[in-house]
Amino acid sequence: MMSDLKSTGLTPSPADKRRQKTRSLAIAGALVFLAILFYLITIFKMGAGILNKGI
Amino acid sequence: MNGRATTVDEPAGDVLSAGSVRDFIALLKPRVMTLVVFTALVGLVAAPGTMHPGLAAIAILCIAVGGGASGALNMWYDADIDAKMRRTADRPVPGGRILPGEALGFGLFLAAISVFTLGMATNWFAAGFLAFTIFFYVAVYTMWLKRRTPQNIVIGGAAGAFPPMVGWAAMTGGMSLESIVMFAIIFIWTPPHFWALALVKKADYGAAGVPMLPNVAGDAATRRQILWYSIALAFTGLLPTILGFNSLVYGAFAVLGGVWMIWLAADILRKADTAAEPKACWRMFGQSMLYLFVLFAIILLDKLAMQRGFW
Repeated sequence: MMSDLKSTGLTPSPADKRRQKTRSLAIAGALVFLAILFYLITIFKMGAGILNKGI
Repeated sequence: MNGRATTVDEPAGDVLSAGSVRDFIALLKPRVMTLVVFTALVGLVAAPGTMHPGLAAIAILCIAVGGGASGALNMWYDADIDAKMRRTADRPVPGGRILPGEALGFGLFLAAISVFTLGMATNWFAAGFLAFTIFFYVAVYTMWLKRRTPQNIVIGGAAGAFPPMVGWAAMTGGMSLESIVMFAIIFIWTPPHFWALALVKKADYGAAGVPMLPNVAGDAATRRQILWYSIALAFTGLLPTILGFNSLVYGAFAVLGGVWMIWLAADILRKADTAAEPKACWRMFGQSMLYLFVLFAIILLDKLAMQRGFW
């Protein structure tokens, strides 16, 4: 997004940069949350059956 | 350039919005989401069967995010009319803090991820139902009905009534008469709730060109419709007891709530065209929300009590 800005002649203000940083962090947080969520779904769906494996 | 804080060397079009994380959360219509979450939870808990509590929590989260996606897509499409109404003019898109394309992308992403995750966590029938609910709210209500017919809120209200059925489907993989009854309660509840608002916001809706019932059929017809729907709601609220899904304890609360809704509707009629009418409309709008929350809370508690043999 920042490179987009430069290519169009817009200069982000400090407030813009702060907002962008917060948004980027929120997106990163959401992605980490999603990854954890998919791990949890897998673990919950395995259930207790995972312990009954043959030797 | 309202809300765009970037300094400009030369005109460059819309490349960066000034939207904060809070603005993106506002796109999800958090207040509407609470109703979606709660009714979906009741549908899920009332349904027969068992599920890992973690998966149940993830299912509710998916339904909430799906509801939020609907809100974001609605705000993307309706930005032009939102800008004309005082109640909605400061929403993130008409307020200029979020670009329409950002709202569209955000909504589509959330819709896809919520449907996919619900399918992974529970079953694909529930996921399909959630996808259909989002489609119904965005395409059928927002894009098609809202600007064309005063019955917009009647038919479109189905979208807000689906969440308990989606919650039920997440648990059972299907639907049943009991989940359809929960749908019916919210479906019948929706028109009087929003028409009470439409009566006091008639000028706003008129300015935006949204054909709400008071603008098209007049205030008197709207007040009568609010009363008829409230009577129908009082009866529909009793169906869980009549059909044996809930106990007489729930039935007693449903009678009280139904009578209260009819009284509120009659109060609007009684105060028609007086200075006290707006207050009566606001009371109907606020307390009908409370009615629905309490009714579904009692459905839930009664169901749990019945499942545990308390009565």
